[in-house]
Amino acid sequence: MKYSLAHKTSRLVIALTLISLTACGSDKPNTQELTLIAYESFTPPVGAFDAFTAQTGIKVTIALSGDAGEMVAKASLTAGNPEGDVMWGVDNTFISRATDSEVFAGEPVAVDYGDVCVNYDIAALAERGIDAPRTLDDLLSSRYASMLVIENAATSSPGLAFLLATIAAFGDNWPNYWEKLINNDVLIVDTWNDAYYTSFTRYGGDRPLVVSYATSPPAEVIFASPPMATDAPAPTSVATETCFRQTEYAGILRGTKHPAESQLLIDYLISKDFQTLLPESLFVYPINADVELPESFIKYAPHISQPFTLTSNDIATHRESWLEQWSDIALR
Amino acid sequence: MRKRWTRLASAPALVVVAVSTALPLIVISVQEIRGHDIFAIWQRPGVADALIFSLWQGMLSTALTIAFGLFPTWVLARYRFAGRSILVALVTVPFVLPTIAVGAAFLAVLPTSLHRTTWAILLAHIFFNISVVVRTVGPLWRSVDQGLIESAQTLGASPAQVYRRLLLPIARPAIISSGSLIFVMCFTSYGIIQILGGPGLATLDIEIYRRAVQLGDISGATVLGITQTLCIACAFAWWSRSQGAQFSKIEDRKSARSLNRSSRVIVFLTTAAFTAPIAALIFSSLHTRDSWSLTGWKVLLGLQDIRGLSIDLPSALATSLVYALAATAIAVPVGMAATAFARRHWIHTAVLLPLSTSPVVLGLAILITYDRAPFDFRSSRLLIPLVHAAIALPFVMRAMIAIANVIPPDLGHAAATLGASPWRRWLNIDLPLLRPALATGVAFSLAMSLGEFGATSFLTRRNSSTLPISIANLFSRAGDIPRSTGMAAATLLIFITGLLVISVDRRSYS
Amino acid sequence: MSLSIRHLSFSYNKRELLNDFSLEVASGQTMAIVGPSGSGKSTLLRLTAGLLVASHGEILINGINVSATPTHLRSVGLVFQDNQLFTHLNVFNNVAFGLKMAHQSRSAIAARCDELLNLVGLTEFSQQSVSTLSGGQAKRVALARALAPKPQVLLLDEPLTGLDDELHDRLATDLRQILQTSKTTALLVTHDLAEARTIADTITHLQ
Repeated sequence: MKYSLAHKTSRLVIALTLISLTACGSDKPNTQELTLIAYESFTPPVGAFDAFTAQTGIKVTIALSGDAGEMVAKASLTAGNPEGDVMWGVDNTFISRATDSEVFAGEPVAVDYGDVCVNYDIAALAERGIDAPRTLDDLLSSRYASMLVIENAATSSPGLAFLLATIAAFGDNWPNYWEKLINNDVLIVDTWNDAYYTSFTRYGGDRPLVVSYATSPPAEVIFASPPMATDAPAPTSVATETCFRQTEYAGILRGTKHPAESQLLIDYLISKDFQTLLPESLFVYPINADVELPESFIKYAPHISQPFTLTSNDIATHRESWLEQWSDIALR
Repeated sequence: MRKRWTRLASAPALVVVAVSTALPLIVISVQEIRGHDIFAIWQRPGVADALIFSLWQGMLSTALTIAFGLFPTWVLARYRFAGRSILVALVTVPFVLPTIAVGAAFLAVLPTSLHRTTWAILLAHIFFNISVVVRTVGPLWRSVDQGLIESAQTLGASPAQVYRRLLLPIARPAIISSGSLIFVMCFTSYGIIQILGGPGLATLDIEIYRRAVQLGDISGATVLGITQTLCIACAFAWWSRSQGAQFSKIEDRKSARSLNRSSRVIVFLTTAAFTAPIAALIFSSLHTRDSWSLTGWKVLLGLQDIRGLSIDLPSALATSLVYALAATAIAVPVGMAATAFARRHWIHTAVLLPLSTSPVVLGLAILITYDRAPFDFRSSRLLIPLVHAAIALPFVMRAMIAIANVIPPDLGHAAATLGASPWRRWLNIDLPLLRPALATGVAFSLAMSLGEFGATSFLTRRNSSTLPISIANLFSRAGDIPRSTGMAAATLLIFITGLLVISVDRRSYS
Repeated sequence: MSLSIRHLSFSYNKRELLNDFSLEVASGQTMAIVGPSGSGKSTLLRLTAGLLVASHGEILINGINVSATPTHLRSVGLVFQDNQLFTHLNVFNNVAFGLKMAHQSRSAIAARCDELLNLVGLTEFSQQSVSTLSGGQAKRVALARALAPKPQVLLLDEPLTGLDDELHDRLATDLRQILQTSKTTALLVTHDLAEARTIADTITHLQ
């Protein structure tokens, strides 16, 4: 009995501490601090903003705001009264929604890009005695029947990107492509995690082809356990003509109380100092052309010269109808 | 005088619900639905299907969870054996697991023919929710006098008849109340459906996410969200009207029986069923690419630095624990007061509101409600614990339903009789009888908070991730190391929760 | 419906509670077993009912060895010292319980229950909740419930212990009358010799 009282009291104390933290922590007009809103998986290395703080005296607090889509949804709803000062990571499938809702003050700037492509397991294909695919049309061949796993375009960002690639490639004829692809026994799953870690042969599945990122092959090398020998080839690669370009943007949020400081942060985000950190922490390509790519990227990330693209307006306008049409073909 | 006082006792619970859910929902409805065609959204393809799927798999999952769950509940309540408290913790732990980790574990354990089928979803739902049955029905069965069963036997009741005619009716109030909670959890299921179900299977929560986030249709999502919340609330209110039964006083009886053959089988099956997925997780954290490796654990514990992979475990763990303790500090006293004094059933319906609401709609609603001074709570560090407490409240209240029969003496009466003794009697004698119920309330609250993902990830956090979110982040990256580190983190979460639950239980069953 | 207990032995936790115990109760007769607490009286009843299993000896009802028969098939009624009424059922349904277990028809159940409630003098209490009954009333309900399925043997564990004196005497007489009227073979245990004399036909002592 005495114990439970003590227990409860201590918990109340903790709660009170939190309340007092709140009282101290929130709204102080503090020009020495900026809040950078980013998606959940924004994990720059520790100290990524030290250079910025050293130069400007401004501290950067990162506010994690769900996944990329959730972040944009929240930003649209709070446009003009934002939760932070600068937003990082609105991608090209969402950017026109953001600008239509007047989320940003001024124009957003591109900060990084990446490609979503069909990845393949080199060893698994070799075992089956098949060459690696290169183009979208290759995937229709009976050679690759029952070998591809893709994500649901309605629920997964890489899944959507792959769909957009086919739309960019085949124009109005894209449903035709998909019917043939479905006939070739493609497996559709809801999440990238499921596709990559359950169905992909590299992790014990039975499908040697998977829709993933162009930066997945270097990640496989860097994060291999046991570690790979320095001259070993990458275990996976990508079909270079199946890629869709994703570009990410950052911008000053409309309604921020610190527009001038926010501009400084934007400048920093595209500066060489910061952009150098991007490849091996976020696994994206820096927009800043002056940045030297790390060795892992040079060696193991295949160069995508002509990815498929669509304008953000196009995507925003037709997204719903494309997805409905796609669901009809692929899921029902 | 008593009436006024008791009405006040439910106020904290109502305040929690109002601040965290009711008020924001009203605000977002007004903003997004006014002038909107609320029927149009139901005609979009997939939306009506999502509602129907949510309903039937919710009901079926609940029925199966109760049907299967009553067996281990009986054994755990009535028998005493070594490792009993560990088994109770074992069945409680799934509550906390991020669906990503469990999804992977289930897929490893289930035969391929069950992958991506509705069966896998049902099994996973049973796995996740069985502890609600165990801990809500358990205490009721624990206090059933063996003599009652013996009388039934002497009156000619076979074991099956004892179960059907005596034990089930006695457990009925608890079955209904745990069933309602399980239904809400399964109806609003998200991650399990995506990982274990076939593509395109969606519950209403998933559809709400799609409409709000993928398609930018916040009005449509709001309509769906409000409908979901209201439907569940109405269904529960109607359902619980039949619940008016009297709970007999719950006694902290020591179970004196040791296992017989059939109960031994149940213990074995339950242990196997719950250990297998967890063992699969542990295995994946130690085994990569055909070889044993501690790298995942080393990275997790900061013993090895991998360039490009930064996980700040101490910070994530600390954040999770602080949130959990704060949420429990709010939910348990508030829930206790509400259960003790609230004689009406609508309070139980009211506290279901947060749990029944899609985290997306709730998150958006909170965002637009508390965005202006002096109510600018969006960035308050108390927001997430409050939301966690709101979500845990129905569990806490159900666990403590026993308290309704151990009501403290009349205030006025106490004053008249010179005092301290009725209160002292209550504090020293009656309240300790509630320790098991209190323990369950605390255990549930901790577990729910530690494992909460949807609302936590949606609400903006500054510089702090919780452990489930860190696990999700690790799983979203390619490579052996992120994967095994994620598995290790999930294992750590299991052990921490297990330890917390066991220690809470141990202290209550003296 | 004679009851025959032969050479019954039972130990628990290395303590011998019964050793080579035998007794015979003729059909329709009531036998009382008198002894101090701890002498194994309740154990004897539980063995007879099948709630415990003896290490040695046998129990015969009407000449048939029921030692291996499970409780619910033994047709032995038991009135517990603390009644053990089902609180989720009203008086009528408590009494009807055994009949429902035997899958009897609604009308048969209604008739039998009325008969028994009449016998124990509780007809007006039929729909009442059992938690509102007095000690004496509860005992009567327990009795009626045990008698309803017409058990071959009725066992009573300290049936009047704990009831106040006036009730005690009245119930003792009533009990005797009920047992005689229903012609039930009964075995009751008590520590009160006077009670045994009032209710039973024969008395055995247990050390």
